Formats: sequence, C-alpha cells, structure tokens
Amino acid sequence: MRAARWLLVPLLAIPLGWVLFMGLGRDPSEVPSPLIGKPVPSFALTTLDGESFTADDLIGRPAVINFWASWCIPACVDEHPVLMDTAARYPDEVLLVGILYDDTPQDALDFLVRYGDGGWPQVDDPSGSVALAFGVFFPPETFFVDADGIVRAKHYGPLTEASMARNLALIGVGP
Amino acid sequence: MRRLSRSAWAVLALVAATAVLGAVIALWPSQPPTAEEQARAISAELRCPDCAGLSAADSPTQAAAEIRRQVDEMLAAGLSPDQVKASFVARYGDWILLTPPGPAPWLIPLAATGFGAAILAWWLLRHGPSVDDPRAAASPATGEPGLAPSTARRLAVGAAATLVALLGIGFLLPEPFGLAAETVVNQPLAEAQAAEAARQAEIERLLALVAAEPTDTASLSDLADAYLAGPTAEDLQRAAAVLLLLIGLDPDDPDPYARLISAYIRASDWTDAAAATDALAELAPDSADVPFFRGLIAWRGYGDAATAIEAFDTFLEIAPDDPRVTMIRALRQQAAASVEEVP
Repeated sequence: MRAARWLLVPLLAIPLGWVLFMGLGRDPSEVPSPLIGKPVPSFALTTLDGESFTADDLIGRPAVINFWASWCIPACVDEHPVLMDTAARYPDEVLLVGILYDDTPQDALDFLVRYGDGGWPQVDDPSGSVALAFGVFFPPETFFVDADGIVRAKHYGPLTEASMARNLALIGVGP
Repeated sequence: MRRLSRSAWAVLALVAATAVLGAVIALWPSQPPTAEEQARAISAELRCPDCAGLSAADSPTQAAAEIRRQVDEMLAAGLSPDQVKASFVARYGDWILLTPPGPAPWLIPLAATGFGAAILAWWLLRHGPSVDDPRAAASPATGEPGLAPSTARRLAVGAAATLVALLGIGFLLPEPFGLAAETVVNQPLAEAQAAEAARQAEIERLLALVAAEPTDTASLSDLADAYLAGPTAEDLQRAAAVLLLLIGLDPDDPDPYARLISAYIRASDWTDAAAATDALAELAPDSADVPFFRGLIAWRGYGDAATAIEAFDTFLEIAPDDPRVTMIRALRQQAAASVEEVP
C-alpha cells in the first residue's frame, strides 16, 4: 500500500516534469537555421531582367540574400529602405540579391516601382524550390553569406538598421 | 505461497491477454507500402513552412506543393523515407518534423503502461482481502482465501515488468518484426556479391551525403554514376531520377544529359531518350553526343536506318577521334546493310 503510493509519485511527476522542462525552456520565436556554417545551397534561376543567376555568382564577395514578396506587407515595405541604404553605402563591398517568395514578376516589379529599385538582382523562384533549399519559413528572411559562399547568419522578419549592421559585420562588411 | 482468488486470476488473465494481443498487433508483418503511400506518409510528417499547424500533405500553399514534389523526386532517386525527412531537417532543423524526434513519442505509451500497472497494483492491494480480513479467515474452505498484499504486489510488478519487457523486445527485434522498424526497405533479392555490396555501400554513403546537403551537385553526380553501374531497371530509373534532380539544380549544364540519355536507352525508353536528346541539342548544339544518341535512338529504338545513317555520318565527321567511333562504324554498317536488303 505504502510502496504503491511511493511508486505513483515518481510515475506522475517524472513525465510531467520532463514535458514542462522541455517545453518551457524554449523560446518559441527562435528557430535556428541548420545552414549556418555551411555552403550556400546550389541553385540556378533567372532574374526579372531575364538574366541567369546561380549560386556561383555569390562567390567572391560577401552577399546578402533577401527572400521577399510584394504581398508581404508591412514587413517587406518596412525593411526596404534598409536594403536600399546598404546598397547605396556598400556598392562594391557587398552583393545584394532579392529572391521572390511565392510572387509574380509583375507584382514584384510594381513593388519596386513604388518603393524604389536599388538595382540589385531580383530573382524569380517560380516553384519555390530555392526557398525550400534555404529553409525559408515566411518572408522576409535574409541570409548573410561570406565571400567564400558560407552562410554566416540568418535573420527572420524585417531588417532594421541595427540588425543589418550587426549581420553585415559577421560577413566582413562594415565601417 | 497462497492460492489466488478467482477475481485475481481473471484480472491476471485480462492483463496477459491484452499484452499478447498488443504484441501480436505490433509485431504482425505488414505489406511494404507503395511509393504513393510512402510519399503521402512522409508529407504528412513534414510541417508546411508557411502555414500554421498543417502538414505539407494537407496544405494548399506553394511551399507545401513543392515539398510534396521533392518528396516524390527523392523517393524515386532511392532515398529512404528517413533520408528524405533528414534532407528537410538539414534545411529547416527539427522544426520541420510534426512528430519531434527522440524518445518522446515512445515514452508516452511506456509511461501510460507504467501508470496502468501502478493503478492495478493499488487496486489489488486495496481490494484484495488482507491476512487479517475476517472473511478470509472465516472461509478457508471455499477455495477463495483472498490475495495477500505481498503476492498482489509481486503480481502487479510482474505484470508491469512483462509489458515493459515486451515493448523492449519489440525495439530489439529486426525488421520487419520490430517496433522500431518504420518502413520496409527494398533489399536485393539475391545474395549480394562483393562488388554489388560495395556499390550499395557507396550508394548508401552518397544518399546520406545528399540527405545532409540536398543541393550537393558533386554527390548527386556520383550517386547517378553508382546507380548507372547497377544491373536492374530500378537502378536505371533511380539514375534517371537523380540526373533529373541535377538538371533541375542547373538547367544550363549539359553534363548530366549524356548520362540521362544513356540511362533511358539502356531502359529502352526511346521516347524519353529522344526528348532528352532534343534538350541536349538545344543546350550544346555542337556536341558529338547529339548525333551519337540521335543515331542510336533512330536505329536501335525505331529501326529508322536512313535517319540513323545520317546521324552516324555527322558523328563520324565531327568526332573522328572519339573512342566510340568503332562502335558507330559497326552500327552504321548494320543500318546500311538493312537498307540494301529492302528492294
């Protein structure tokens, strides 16, 4: 009788404690990317200007790969000036690339006309396979790739000046 | 040791019957799933990236559709369901799995079993008449002397231990009888010879590399070669699937096409071989491979001697030093002879 009661306590407490420990110790907004420290996934796509763009074009200088969509409002609108500013400030030091996420080229071009076209390559990903290869959840998401083509950081959600500067420093770009 | 009461025997019989039934259901060998069932099952285990709480199998978004397409492709390329899932984990982390990895899913039934055993022990101890129960003492001749607490405890612990042991045995048994076996993987029917075993090992190694880095073109290319070295139609199909993956990654690279066309030709799939040759002709119009394959397909596939001779002549003209010249000369002679036989 007494032994049975003693048995019940750990039987109930251990699984419950384990579930609480595993669940409460985690930050739901933090989803680390397994790509960090790995080479950028290979891909071959076409820019909105009709030119070919492949992963090999990223090698040689640090790159910022921004997954976005014209329907991603307001986050993609909010971060657009930050990208424009980076393109203007580091025209030769860093390569910016926009990859469309589940969007049409026409809508993307309309967005650029409205909010400003910084002139960096905008690439269409019609099947979404490249977003999948990068492990994109929801735009905007931005990858920071060093000159050797190694992914160094991933940013979820809209970029701010501070987060842009912090991540650019990780790929060797900065004042 | 005291004899057990009828009710105690009934409870024990029920526990034993449940355990045996559970073990039989769990260990019953099932039919290997079809490719479609496998693909559907895998998509159902993967989270749709851009929607809340839906699996890739159940979501209508573009990302979910792309996941389903890639699952089909990778299964066709010979990756096991676990490797397909691993390739998505390599991009998204464990987040992409709807069922978290690790012991959690298995601990729940074990914990439930233990909990049930504890309840049973508690019930037996509470309701089994104790030694100094007046009923037990008063009716020693009825054959139901009741259950001593120590016996009940031993029985309950024994029953719980049996269930846990059965589950444990389930994990240790080999496929397809074990609980740990999620799917049945096709194995070569005949006893594998040394070279074949080495090829399979190489394929396994490359599949693991591809699962870890799904866009690794060098490993995909080696994997295609390993499949092309295989003897079965399945090897050729998988080689073709891998080469199509490679072409998808870089549509402008003519390199995988020659191997793809060879695979189709060996599989006597002349329609796909011709279509792939047309695609290669667009990418690399000057390649000697184009007339080489056109001639082969025309002659061996369709028996079209005139087209074949024309293609063979083009090949001999643009690649006179190619190692395949001897073979093409012989084929051209065959084709020419067949034309002469026709009046």
